Amino acid sequence: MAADTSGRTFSEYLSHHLQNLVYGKLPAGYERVNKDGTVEVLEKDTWTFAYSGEEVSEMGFWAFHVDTLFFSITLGAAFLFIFARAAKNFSMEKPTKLQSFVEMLVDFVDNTVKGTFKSAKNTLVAPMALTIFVWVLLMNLMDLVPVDLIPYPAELLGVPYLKVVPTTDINLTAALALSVFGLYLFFSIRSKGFIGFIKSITLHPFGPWMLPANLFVELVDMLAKPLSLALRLYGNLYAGEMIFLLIAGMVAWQLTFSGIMIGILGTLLSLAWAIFHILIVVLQAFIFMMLTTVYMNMAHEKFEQH
Amino acid sequence: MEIALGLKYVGAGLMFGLAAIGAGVGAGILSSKLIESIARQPELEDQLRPTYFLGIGLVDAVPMISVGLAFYLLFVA
Repeated sequence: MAADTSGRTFSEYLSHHLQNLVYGKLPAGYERVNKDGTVEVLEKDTWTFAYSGEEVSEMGFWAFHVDTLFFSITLGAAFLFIFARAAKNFSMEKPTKLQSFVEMLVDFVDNTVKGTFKSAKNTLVAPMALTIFVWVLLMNLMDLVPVDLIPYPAELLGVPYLKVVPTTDINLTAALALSVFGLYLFFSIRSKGFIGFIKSITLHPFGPWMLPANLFVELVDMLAKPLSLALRLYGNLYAGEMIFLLIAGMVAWQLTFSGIMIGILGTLLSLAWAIFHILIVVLQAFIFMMLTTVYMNMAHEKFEQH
Repeated sequence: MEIALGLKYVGAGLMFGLAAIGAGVGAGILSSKLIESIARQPELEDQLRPTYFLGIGLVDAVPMISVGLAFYLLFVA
């Protein structure tokens, strides 16, 4: 298969692009292979960046995905900054384009939440929905940045791996889903009371005589929520990124006739997929927001004996 | 080794095909019901559309994951 400029094969190119930049601790006595092939034995535990897949698996649990953290926090800060600026420069007479755009988004989220969240009064839900929607949308939109535009210059500067789409990292989507799940539990217990919460997971749906079955059904139902939330976002974005990578990896960097033709074909394919992907990107952000609101609504529902 | 490689391709092919069947049936049912509902009550269109997109997104998700994993199986693993 075609090799890129750094002489990687197709599948090496793919797995290189699917690897996060990991910062973690290598244990003492680990034999580190340098770029020139020499082996260096670490004398004590070292915190460092991983330069190969083996080093990543050696780092175990306490490994930080620096690129995911960097891009997600940067995008979150950008979102807060832009929205705060639009709110600060608010004017009734002369609304700027930015202000109109922000108002449109806020209105959209507000209407969606009003339509879904009906069981109680809670002023936290709509802002949370807005935050989730815009933040996830911004992170998803990083998928439309050409796959080599940021990682390749970074590699020339000495960054071994770089994944620019934070939502293609399951750690981030799982963290988001777990936060939502934590809020779900918190609001459930707050609105029903602890006893009411216990009742709602033990006395439903078959009545008190089937307590173990009720508990089992409710627990599975409950655990499926964060799991499906995290995996849906991750899987969609991961698959989308994978297809972009396949198209990019298909292109041979050769100035021959067939090389140029494949290049043009790759560009067209990339463009087509990007246009289709705009739908997925927005839809997944919307679904994440929508399901969060639905779960919050469920959390506030009063327990009723059926 | 040869057989293992062949089975990998068969597996990936099955993943693509089954994902396409599932998503096709799901999206087809959803769209046809949406058209039926709008034809019956055109004034409800604005309310139906967000729910429709939500449903399409939910239908779309699992097959997309399957396709991504199939590509992973084919080219990376």
